[in-house]
Amino acid sequence: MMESVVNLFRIQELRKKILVTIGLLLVYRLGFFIPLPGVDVKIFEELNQQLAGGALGNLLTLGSALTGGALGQAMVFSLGVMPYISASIIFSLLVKVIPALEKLSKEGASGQKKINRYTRYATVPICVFQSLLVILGVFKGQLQNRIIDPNILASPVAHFFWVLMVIMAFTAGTLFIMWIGEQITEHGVGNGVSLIIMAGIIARVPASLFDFVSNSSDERNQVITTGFTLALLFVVVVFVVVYITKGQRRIPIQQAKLQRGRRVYGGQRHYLPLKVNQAGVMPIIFASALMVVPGVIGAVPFLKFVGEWFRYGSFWYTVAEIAMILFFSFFWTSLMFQPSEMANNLKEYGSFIPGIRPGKRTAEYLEKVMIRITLAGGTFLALIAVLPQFITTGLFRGTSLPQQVVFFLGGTSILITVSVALDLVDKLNSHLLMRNYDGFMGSTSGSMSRRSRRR
Amino acid sequence: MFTRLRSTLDRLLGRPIERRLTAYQREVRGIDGQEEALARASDGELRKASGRLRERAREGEPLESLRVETFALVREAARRTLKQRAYEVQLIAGLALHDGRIAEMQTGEGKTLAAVPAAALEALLGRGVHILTFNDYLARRDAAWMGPVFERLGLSVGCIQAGLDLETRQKAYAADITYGTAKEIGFDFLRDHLARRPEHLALRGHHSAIVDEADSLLIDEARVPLVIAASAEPARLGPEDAHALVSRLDPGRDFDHDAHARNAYFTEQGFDRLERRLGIQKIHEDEHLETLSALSYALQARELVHRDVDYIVRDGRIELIDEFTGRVVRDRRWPDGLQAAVEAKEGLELQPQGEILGSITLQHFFAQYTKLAGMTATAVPAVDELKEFYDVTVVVIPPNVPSERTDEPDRVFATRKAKQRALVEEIRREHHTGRPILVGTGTVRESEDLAEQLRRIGLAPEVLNAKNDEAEAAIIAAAGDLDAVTIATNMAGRGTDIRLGGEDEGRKAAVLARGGLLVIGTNRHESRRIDDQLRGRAGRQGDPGTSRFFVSLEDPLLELYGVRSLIPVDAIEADELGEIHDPRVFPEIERTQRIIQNENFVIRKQLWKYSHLVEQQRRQVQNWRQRLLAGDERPTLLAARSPERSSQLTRRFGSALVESVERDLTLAEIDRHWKNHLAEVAHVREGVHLISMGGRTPHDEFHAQIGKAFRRMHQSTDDAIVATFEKAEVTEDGIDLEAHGLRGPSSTWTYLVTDSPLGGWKERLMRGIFDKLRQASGWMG
Repeated sequence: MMESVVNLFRIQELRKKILVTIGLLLVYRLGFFIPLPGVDVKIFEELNQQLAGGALGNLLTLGSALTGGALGQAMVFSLGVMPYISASIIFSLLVKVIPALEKLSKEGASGQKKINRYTRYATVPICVFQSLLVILGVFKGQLQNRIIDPNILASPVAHFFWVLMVIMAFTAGTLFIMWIGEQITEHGVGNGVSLIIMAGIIARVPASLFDFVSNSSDERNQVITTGFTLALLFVVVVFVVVYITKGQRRIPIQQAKLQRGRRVYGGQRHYLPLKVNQAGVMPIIFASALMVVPGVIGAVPFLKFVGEWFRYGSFWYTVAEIAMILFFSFFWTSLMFQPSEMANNLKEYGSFIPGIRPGKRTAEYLEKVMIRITLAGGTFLALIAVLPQFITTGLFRGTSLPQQVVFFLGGTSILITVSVALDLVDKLNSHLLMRNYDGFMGSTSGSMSRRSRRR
Repeated sequence: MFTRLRSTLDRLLGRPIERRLTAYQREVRGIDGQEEALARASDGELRKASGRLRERAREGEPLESLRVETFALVREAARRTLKQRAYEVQLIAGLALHDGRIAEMQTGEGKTLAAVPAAALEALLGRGVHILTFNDYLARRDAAWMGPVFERLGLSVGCIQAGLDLETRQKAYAADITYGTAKEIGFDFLRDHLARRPEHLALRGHHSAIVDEADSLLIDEARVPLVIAASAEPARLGPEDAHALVSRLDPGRDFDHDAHARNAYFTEQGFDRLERRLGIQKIHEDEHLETLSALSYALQARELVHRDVDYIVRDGRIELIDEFTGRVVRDRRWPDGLQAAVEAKEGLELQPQGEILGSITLQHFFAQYTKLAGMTATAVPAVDELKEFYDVTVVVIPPNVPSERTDEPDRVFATRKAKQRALVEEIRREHHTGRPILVGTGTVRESEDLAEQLRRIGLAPEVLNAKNDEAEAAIIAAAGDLDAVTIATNMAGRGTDIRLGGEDEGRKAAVLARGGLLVIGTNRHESRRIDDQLRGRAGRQGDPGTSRFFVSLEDPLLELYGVRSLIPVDAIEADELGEIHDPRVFPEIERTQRIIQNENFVIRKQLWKYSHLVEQQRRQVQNWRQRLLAGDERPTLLAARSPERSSQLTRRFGSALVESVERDLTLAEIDRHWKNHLAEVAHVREGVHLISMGGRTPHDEFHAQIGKAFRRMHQSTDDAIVATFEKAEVTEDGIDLEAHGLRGPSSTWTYLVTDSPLGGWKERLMRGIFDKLRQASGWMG
C-alpha cells in the first residue's frame, strides 16, 4: 500500500499529473478568500450563523455541502459548481426527452462534444439566475443589517452597476471553477468536477469540527461522548457507503463469437455490472430541493399548518422525504437505464445472457433485476438521507451539534466523497499499471530480478 | 514572404511543421561546393572516400559532421550511376530524413532518390538501415534502381520480398541497406520471437527506418495488427453447414441489421427456425455456444461483407481489399470465425484457422526503431497525429518546379442518381477534347458500374482495380496519353506516377496543350489526405492539370454522418439536373470530413491506450526471451526451485547440458503461456465495454484485469517450467519437448487482421466510452 503511494510519485508523468491536480484544487480553494466587493463579509457570516437551522438555512447548508460552493459566505466562488451541475443534469434529462438531442448524443465523440458545449453555454444563464436569487433573497433581505455598503445603495446608478458586477463576479467565478475542473480532467487525474465537489466537502470538515469542539455550549464530558459516538458512527457509515457504492449485480454475458484457443484458461465470463445504487446522489438532491416546498407553502398565513407538519425533522417530513427519494431513485434509474435499449445493444452485438433469448425476453429479465436492486439501492439512499435528522432530533437531541458536522455525517457527503475517491483510486491504479512497465523496460536484469521486483 | 508568414503562424499555433529551410539550404550549398572536386575523382577514389567516412563514423564522430561530405559523395555516385543529378529539394528532403523528420514531397519529385543519401549516411554506422516501401514491387524496383548507387560507394543492398527463405532473408538483413515492406519485416520480427535457436533469427535489430508513404503506414494502417499463428482444432458445426442454414433464412423476418448496417442479428423468429432445424431446445444454453457462434458468423458473412466491395475472389481464395488504398492486400484476413464463414459463403476450400502465437501492431513495430523518418505527399494534414504518436515533425519540401494544377471546387448533387448522370456527361464532354482523364472511385463495384455506363455511350475506358492489379504498370503507363480514360479505385492514389503523353512521353506537348491530366473523384473519402493523394496524380513536376470532385448528399459517408442536418434547408435546393449551387454547402461537406477525421483520431488515441499496456508486457517478455535465446542471460530458475534434480542431472550430464535443457524448456513455456495470455487479452477486450454500465471506465478495468493476468502468467510459466523439469526424461541429447507437447509449431503462417471486423470490440468499446462520457457529463452518474 505505502509502496504504491511512493510509486505514484516515482513516475514522472504521474507525479506531474498529481501535482497539477493538487495545484488546481488549491487555486480553487484560494478563490474562496476573494470577497465580493461591497459586501461586509463579517456581518454576513454572523447573520448566516443565526440563519442556520431555519428552512432556508438548512437548504443553503445542504446546497453548499453538496456542491462545493459556499453560500454561507459572500465570496466570488460562492455559487460553486452547482450551476454547471444543474446544467449537466438538465441536459442529461433533455437528451432522453428531446429527439434531436438524443440523436446528437448517439453521434459519437463529436456529438458528445457538442452537448458538452451546450451544457457550458447553459451554465451562464443558470449562474445569472442564481446570482439574482442570492442578491434578492439573501443580500437584499438583510438590508437593515448593513451588509451592503450604504454608499452603493445611495445612488441608483451605483446600485445598478453593483448588481451587475455581483452577477458577473458570481458567473465568472463559477465558469472559472468549471474551467479548473476541465483542466484537472484533461491534465490531472480523475474527473475534475467530481474532485472539486469532493474538495469542497472535505475542506469544510476541519472548520466545522473545530466549531463543534470549541464553540459547543455543552459540557466537556458530553462533548467527548458525542464526539466519540459520532466518530464511531462515521466509521460505520463510511463502511456501509463503500460497500453499497461498490455493490453491483453481475449479469453474465456471452458473446456468440467463439475464438480458437479461448478455452485454455476458461471459467472467466463477461458480465454486465448493474450498480445497486445506479442513481448516485441524484435522488437525494431532487428530494431535498422539493422538500423546501412545504416550508414555502407554510409562509402563507392560513396554510401555516402545512409548514408545521413538514417541519424539518418531523415525522411527516421524514416520511415524505423517504418516499420522494424512493420515487426519484426509480425515476432516475429508469431514465438512465433502459432495459429495452440495453437488450437491443446486446442483441446487435451478438451478445446474450446465457439461457435467455435476446430481445424482449432479455429486456424483461433486465427490468426485473433492475427493479429489485433499485428498491434496495433507493432504501439505502433514503436511510442515508434521513440519518442527519435521526442524529439531531433523536440521538443527540438537546446537544448543540453544528449542522455542517451532521450533514457531513449524513451520508450524502460521504456518498459523494466515497464514489469520487473510489474512482480516483481506479484511475491511479490504472496509471501505475501502465507506467510500471516502463520502469522494467530499460533493465537488462534477468528473470530473477524481474521476479523480485514483482513482489 | 508567404512561406514566412505561414511558418510564423504555424509556430504561433505550436504546430510541428517546418517550412523555413534556410539551415538546410546552407548545408546544400556546402554540398554544392564539393561537387566539382568530386566530379574529377575516379570511382576508386569515391569508394575510398566513403570508406574513410565509415571509419570516422565508427570512431565515434557524430554523423552530423559527416553529413555534407556523405551527401556530396552520394550525389556524385548517383549522377554517375543514374545519369541524374539530385535537385536541391531532394537533398533538403534527404537532410530532413536524416534528422528523423517526415518530409512532405509532392508526387513525381523523386522520393526514391531523396532517401538514398540519408540511408547511406546512417549506414556508415554499420547497424543496418531499413527503407520501408509501400509494396513488394516498389521494394524490388527501388533496390534494383538505387542498389548500384550504394554499391559504387561500397555499401551493400538487400531486398525483402514475401516468400523468401530464411537464408536469403538473413543475407538481406545483413546488408547495409535493406528495402522491404513494413509488413514483411514485421512478420520476420514476429517469427524471430518464436525462434528456438539463435541461428534461426532473421533480423539483426532495428536501428533506423525510412518509411515511404509515411502517413498511410504510420496512421491509416497503424492499428492493423500483424499476426503469426499456428493451426488449432476445427470447429464442431462446420462453417459450410452454418452457411447452408443461414442462407435459407429470410431477411427482415428471421434476421435484421442495425441502422448503419454494421451488425446483423437474428430475430426471435430466426432463432425459432434455427432451433427447429437443428433440433435444439434452447440455442442460448452454454452447450450450444459453438453452434451459435458459427451461425452468427455465417450471418455476418452473408449480410455485412460484400463481394467486390470488401473482398474479391481470385484463384479460389478470398482476397481482402484495403479500404484506404483500394488494393488487394496479400496475407490479410478477418478474425478467424468470420474468415471461415466468408470462405464457406463463396464455396471455397476452408483455409486453416489459427491460434495466435504472437502479434504486434504496425504502430508498435515502428516504435521499435531507434530512428524513424518518413516521406509522403500528404503529411501536413496528419501533422498533429504524427507528433502525438511518433514524436516526429514535418518538413514541407517545395516542389522543384511549382505545380500548375487547378483544384476546382466540388460539384455537389442532391441525389446519387443525379451525380452519376453528371459524371458520365462530364467524362463524355472532357473526353471529347482528347484530354486524358483519371477517375477515382470508391469501390471495385463502383468502378465497374461506371465503366459499364461509359461503354454504353461508346467510350472505351480502362479499368484499374483490385481485380486486375497485375496490369497496373501497363494501365498507368497509358493513363496519361491522349484520349485515355482510366477508371480506378483508390489504388491509383499512392505510388503511381502518371506521365503525360504515353510511356515515351511522345505526345506530351499535345496533352499539355489540352490542359494536362484531369482527375475526377467520384466521392470524398474518410480523410482529406486520401483525396489529396488522388488530386496529386495531376500536375506532376510542374505540368498543368485539373482536379474535380463529384459529391452527392446521398454518398454513404456523408449520409452516415448526417451532412443534411448541417446544411440550411433552403441551401439544399437543386437545379433541374439535381446539382446544388448554394455556396453554403461546400463548407459543410468539408466540415463533415473534418468531423470524421477527428473522430478517427479519437478512436486511434483510445485504441492506442488499450494496446499500450499489452505492448509493454510483450516487450518485457520478449526481451527476456531473446536474451535467453542469444545466451546473454543464463536461466537460474531451476537451481532455486528444483535444486535436487538440478544437481543430480548436473552430476550426470554436466552443467552445460542442464543449462541448455532449462533454456529450451523456458523458451517453450514462454511461448505457450504468452499465447494463452494473448487469448485472454482478446477475451477481456471483447467484454470490457460492458463495464461502463457499472460506472467504471472500461479502460481502467481493462488495465486492472490485464495486469492481473500478466502476473498470473509469470507465475504459471515458472510453475510449468519446474513441473515439466521435475518429471521430464533427460538424456545426453537434452530434453524431449515433444513428449510434453512443447515442440515449436510445425508450421506457422503470418497475416494481418483487418481493421474493420464490423461491429467488433472496437466499436462496442467506443460506444461504451461515449456512454461513460455521457455519464461523466451527467456529473456523477
